[in-house]
Amino acid sequence: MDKLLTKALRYKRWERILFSVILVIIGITGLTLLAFAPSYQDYVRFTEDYNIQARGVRISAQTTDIESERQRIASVDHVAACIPQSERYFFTSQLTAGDFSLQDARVTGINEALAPELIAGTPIEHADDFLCPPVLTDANGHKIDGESLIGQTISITVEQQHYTVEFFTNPDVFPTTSDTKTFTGRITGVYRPFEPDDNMLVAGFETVGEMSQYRQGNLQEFQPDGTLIVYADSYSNLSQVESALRSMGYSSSPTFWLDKTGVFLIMVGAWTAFVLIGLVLFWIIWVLLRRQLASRSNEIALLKATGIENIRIGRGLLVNLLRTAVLPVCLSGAFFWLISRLLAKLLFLGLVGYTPGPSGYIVFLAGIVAACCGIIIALLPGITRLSPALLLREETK
Amino acid sequence: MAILTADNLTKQYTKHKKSVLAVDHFTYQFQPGKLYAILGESGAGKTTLLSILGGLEKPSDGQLYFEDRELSGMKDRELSQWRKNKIGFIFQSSALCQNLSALENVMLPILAAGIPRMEARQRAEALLDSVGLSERADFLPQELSGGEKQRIAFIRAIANDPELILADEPTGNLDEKNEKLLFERLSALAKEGRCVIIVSHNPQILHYADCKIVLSSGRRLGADG
Ligand SMILES: Nc1ncnc2c1ncn2[C@@H]1O[C@H](COP(=O)(O)OP(=O)(O)OP(=O)(O)O)[C@@H](O)[C@H]1O
Ligand SMILES: [Mg+2]
Repeated sequence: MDKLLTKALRYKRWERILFSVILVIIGITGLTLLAFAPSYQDYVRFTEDYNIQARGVRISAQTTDIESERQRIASVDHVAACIPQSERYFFTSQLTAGDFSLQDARVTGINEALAPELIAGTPIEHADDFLCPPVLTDANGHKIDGESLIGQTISITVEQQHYTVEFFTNPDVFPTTSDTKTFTGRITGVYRPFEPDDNMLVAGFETVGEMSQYRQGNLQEFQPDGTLIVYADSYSNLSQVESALRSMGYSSSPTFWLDKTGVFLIMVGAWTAFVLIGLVLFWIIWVLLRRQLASRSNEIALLKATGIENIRIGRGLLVNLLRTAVLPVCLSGAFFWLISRLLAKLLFLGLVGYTPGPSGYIVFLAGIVAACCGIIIALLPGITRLSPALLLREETK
Repeated sequence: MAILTADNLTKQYTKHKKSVLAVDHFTYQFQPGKLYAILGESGAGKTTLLSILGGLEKPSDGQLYFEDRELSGMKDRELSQWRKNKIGFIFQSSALCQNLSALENVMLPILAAGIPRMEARQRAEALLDSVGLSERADFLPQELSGGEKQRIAFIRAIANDPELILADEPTGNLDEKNEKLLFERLSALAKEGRCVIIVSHNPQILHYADCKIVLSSGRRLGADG
């Protein structure tokens, strides 16, 4: 019975084709945008949460003699470190460029077990380890006054990374740890990287430049792009460093957005756009389905006059819709997967250890399908209202 | 006992604040075993009356009883059930599902009544055979002539052996021979004890009708028989 019912309500061929094409277009554009929205948000979240301590300025080297250029820049006021920067790994190197908390540097003797890995560059998924407890204490539990640590000599053991290319699992450059080396130096400055009421302290450290170079190991073999990242000793001095570098003839740009209002505005704009686009897509699907219902009204009236219940007719329509939608949904789903991987790759280029991918966003695909079903259910009253008496008023064909 | 009792049935359509009284206090008792002809000029309310009698439209006022059950109080489910088992409609446009073959079109109401597929198929084949269309079982409606479609619409309407058969201009696009055949078949059904109600402009109907109901502006003018 239901098989026959479904057949009776089947769309005409041109309707099916039109519907499929529209669904594919909607799927591809809509899902891509939807995929982009959360990726974009993640991106901003990353830069906000973790990179606020970057205080980096990115510049392009002017000569091929990177080493002497680094020394020249390092002598500029308020420069904590200057290291060759790989586009891909600036996040990693940023962690090693001198901005480590006292605790991480084992000044106080607490959390000693953590320190070496942290200095060696914690992969981003362990970034939580890098964040300090809100109140710094020494081994005896006494609160530490950061300023009192300036001038102290500390030593840090750094593990050198050895980079290899792993083509099969992921065409990316992967670090593996090899040798270790201990660096000794004095703390040159202490400052709070976060908000004023945040207790985390970060120290500038004399030998951090060498240290991070050492830690980077053979990275330059993979990306000898001549970009340098210059770290200021505190965020408040960043613009000063930046203008100093400009006056030296470098074109410089901050490594991350640090302006939260800008980010907020961008997010609001982006989400408004996505919501609007979503509404338009919803409207298109709605109109399309109403049209489908109208074009089947004769059949529906006949089925009703035959004494078939509304709910069964609704089910027949739904089966037909789903059947028509399977191919376009699969097609646009596949496209969606690809494009979102690509987008994520582009967006998260600099984040080591972050696996981009739309796995979580499949939820949106499910959302679209659910929305379609919802619309059909919403159309049920339409079926109920459709009077079978219209058959009696039908013009003779 | 009357199979269908109309008690002051009234249907008023309102559109753009203008109201049309399509059926005006129609009271009548339809008996089984009779063929009724509903006549009247165009716009008199014949189609409206028929759709109310078949439960396709609800009256704005008045009651309709099937045997002794009141219909206006029924829910969609019950009404569907009632239409499925008790009523056969024949529409002027010989309404058939365009996607279904002749056989499937006849099978649909039988399956809807809960008959198993195999049995429904046999019954549909027998019905097609009875109107000489077994050769056309696999044809789609657009591959059939007007008269053939009408015959299929006819057997479709009687497939579940309904007690009440309603037809609106069933001979609309038939030639004289087919017209006569259809009226004869409907008349035979009435003789077998069913109640047949036909709306028609065709004067031929008067040769077959047991009772004549004339409508004018929604009102019944008089009935004989
Ligand atoms: N859905 C509707 N809304 C408003 N008015 C309607 C509606 N359906 C019918 N009418 C009006 O009700 C009146 C009766 O219509 P009906 O179709 O019953 O006439 P009829 O007797 O069947 O005419 P015909 O012989 O031309 O088919 C007409 O004046 C028509 O305009
Ligand atoms: Mg009419």
